[in-house]
Amino acid sequence: MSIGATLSKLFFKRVQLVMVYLFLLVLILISGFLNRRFLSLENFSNLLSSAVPYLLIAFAQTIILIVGGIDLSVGSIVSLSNVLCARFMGNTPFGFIPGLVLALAAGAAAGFANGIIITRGRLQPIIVTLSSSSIIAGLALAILPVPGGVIPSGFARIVNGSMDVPVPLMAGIFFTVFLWIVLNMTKFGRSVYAIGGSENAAYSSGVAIDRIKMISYIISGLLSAFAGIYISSQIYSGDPLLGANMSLVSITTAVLGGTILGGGKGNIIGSIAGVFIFIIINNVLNLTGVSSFYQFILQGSLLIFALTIGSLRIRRRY
Amino acid sequence: MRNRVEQPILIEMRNISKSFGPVKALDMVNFSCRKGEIHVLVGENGAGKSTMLKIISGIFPPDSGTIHIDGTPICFRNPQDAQRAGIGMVFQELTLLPELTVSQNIFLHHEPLNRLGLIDGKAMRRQLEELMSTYQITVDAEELVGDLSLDKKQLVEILKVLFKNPNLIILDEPTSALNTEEVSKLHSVIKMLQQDGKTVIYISHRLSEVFSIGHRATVLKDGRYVTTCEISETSPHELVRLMVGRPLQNIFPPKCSRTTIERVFEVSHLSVAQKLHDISFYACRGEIVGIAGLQGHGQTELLNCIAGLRKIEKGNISIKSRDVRIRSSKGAIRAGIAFIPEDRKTQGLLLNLPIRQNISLASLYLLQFMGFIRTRKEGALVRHMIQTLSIKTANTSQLARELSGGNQQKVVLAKGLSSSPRVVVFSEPTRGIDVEAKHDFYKLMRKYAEDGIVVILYSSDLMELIGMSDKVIVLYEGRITGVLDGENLNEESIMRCAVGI
Repeated sequence: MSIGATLSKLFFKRVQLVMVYLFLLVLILISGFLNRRFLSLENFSNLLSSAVPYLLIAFAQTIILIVGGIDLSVGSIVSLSNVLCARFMGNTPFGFIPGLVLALAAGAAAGFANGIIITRGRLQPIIVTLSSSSIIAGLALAILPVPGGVIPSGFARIVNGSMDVPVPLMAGIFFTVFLWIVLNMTKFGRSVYAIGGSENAAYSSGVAIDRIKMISYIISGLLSAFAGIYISSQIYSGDPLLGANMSLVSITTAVLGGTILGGGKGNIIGSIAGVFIFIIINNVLNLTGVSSFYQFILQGSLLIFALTIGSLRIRRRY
Repeated sequence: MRNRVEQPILIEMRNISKSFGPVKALDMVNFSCRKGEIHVLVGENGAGKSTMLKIISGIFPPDSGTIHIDGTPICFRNPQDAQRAGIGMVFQELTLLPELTVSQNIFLHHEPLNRLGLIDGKAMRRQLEELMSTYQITVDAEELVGDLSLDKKQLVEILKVLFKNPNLIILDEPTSALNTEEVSKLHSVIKMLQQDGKTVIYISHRLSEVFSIGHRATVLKDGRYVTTCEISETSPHELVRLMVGRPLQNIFPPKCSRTTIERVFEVSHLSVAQKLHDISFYACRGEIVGIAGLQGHGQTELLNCIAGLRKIEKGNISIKSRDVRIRSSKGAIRAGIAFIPEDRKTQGLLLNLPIRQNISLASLYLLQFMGFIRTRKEGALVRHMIQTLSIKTANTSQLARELSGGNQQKVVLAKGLSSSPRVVVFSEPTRGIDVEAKHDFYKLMRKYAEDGIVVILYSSDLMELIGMSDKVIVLYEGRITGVLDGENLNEESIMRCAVGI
């Protein structure tokens, strides 16, 4: 096969991914045209660092959606992780370590709880994670009722990249590569796709359904906790309502990137584009001074738009 | 295989019983299979063949009875146990994942790993190539399974089983989706397996296949073991007789005596790609027309076309010589066609709603005034239906789920009849209801036919078809292979048309 033919085959196999990235490119060009400040290096570097937590929760949601579930507790875990950092990173004999460990442990524990209730209780993920989201949000409020607390500035400056080391970029690349390998090159990843595709088929092939689901929810919890830690370093404090809107954002960005509700199909490379589409639209609205109220309206519309595109595509296929 | 007869027994099932709710799928079944033979399992729809194989392959356990492999009793808790014991099953309903590629499907959960613990793509390709060249099967390994044709999917399913190198391979109707050439290809694969010393259990409805590749055959009927025979010592007609042969009980009302030639309902040249080819038949006033055929030969598609659940690609349907365009289930109801679906719990009833709402649902367009439901008219209609069908219920607000199976089915029927249809299509109307209720139902069917309604009846129960129908249309591979009535209407002739001999 010639190189041209190989490339064109690859193109058509990934036509949807290519479309998402084309859309992103057009969006960047339009944004640059509308607002000169948008294309500055400074704005791009801002975009990248604000994208990192959204990337993490989009990845979390992507994995859960592929396995056929949904995780509505992502946002609350971000809040919990953030308040734990704010409360237990400063004024401790061990520096920032206790906050970091607590935040990650809480994320993993929340994911574990979601997973065990969903698999053992044979319950719908949507209702389990909606409930657990409320519990976790309540915990965050109990730990830090009003915004406050401190993040040690040394820790924060390293993590948010103000020390001349491009930590946000490195974190983005690290998590992308790591999760791409996990999803595409391991038995675990293959099983995730298989379960989302058809639980019965996966079962009869010997896949341990419950265990794979459990691990997926734990990964989702951990990634959400990482997102909370990262945001802590950006805002230098805690806010119990920080993640209130983030579950919706994580679903929106994953679906924009081509992951479907219902499972079996999706990829994190698409989710990256989804996140940037989302961030850029918000960024442009900020730069042009549109009220944040309208941004909520836009987020909801964006999700419905992405879902409609996805469902039309499925209908065409079958 | 000169000394096949002396081979030891590989797998033996003793006194296996299995019930699903009140339905006894298997009743004290015995079965044994020798090492290295191709053992064919035959029987009508619902004889228990698939249930038996699902027990062998660990999908579900038997209620009682034992399974022995190489003489030692075993107990499979799940499909993995059976796989480890060297049993590989190719399922009738395909278990492939459409969004994964061919090789990803075949190796699912058994991927070769490299030193880093990551999936070794190269090894996967190499192993798959070896496997495909051994059995002379070619499929594009990188193609998405969802993009493959049905016969290729079937081959992938078989490769997926062969890759695990089982000793006993079970194929549940593997050829129902294949054409003649593909069937012979599959048969050469099966013979190759047998020459390798593997044992094959094979379910097929095509008797010609049974005789071309099988060594022995076991006949099941109504969940019971009938007999096992050497293929070389039997004939197709003998096998058909063993598969059916039972007395026709007298639970059916007498058939239509009048003969009219008024064609009320006519289907002409109806086709649906790959499923139905040029189907034409008609029904006269007061006739009950049966539709027969083995599972998956186009009956469901035909019924769905008539009921407006599936798009008609070619051909048309006419009622009283007027063409009707049926594009939706609503269209079918307005055209005078009522459909009584097979699965009353999911397709026919709103289980958590009262009988009243259930019965009036399909005829609300007759009962409304400016969008409001005329409750008195509705109540009258519902009470009328309950009375004529003698539905046993406390009152019209009893919930559908609280009724017995037979009464539930009558509610579904009442719903269909309340829009005053000219044609009523029944799909498996008596599945899972007791004999008494069946008898009631048959009488109702006949009564409505005599009132001038055309009844189309699809049932996999041949006795029911023969007992009720004035004529029976038999489908085989989406074509009509027989229109049987009067003297010609018996189980043997139906089976012969249904297996295409």
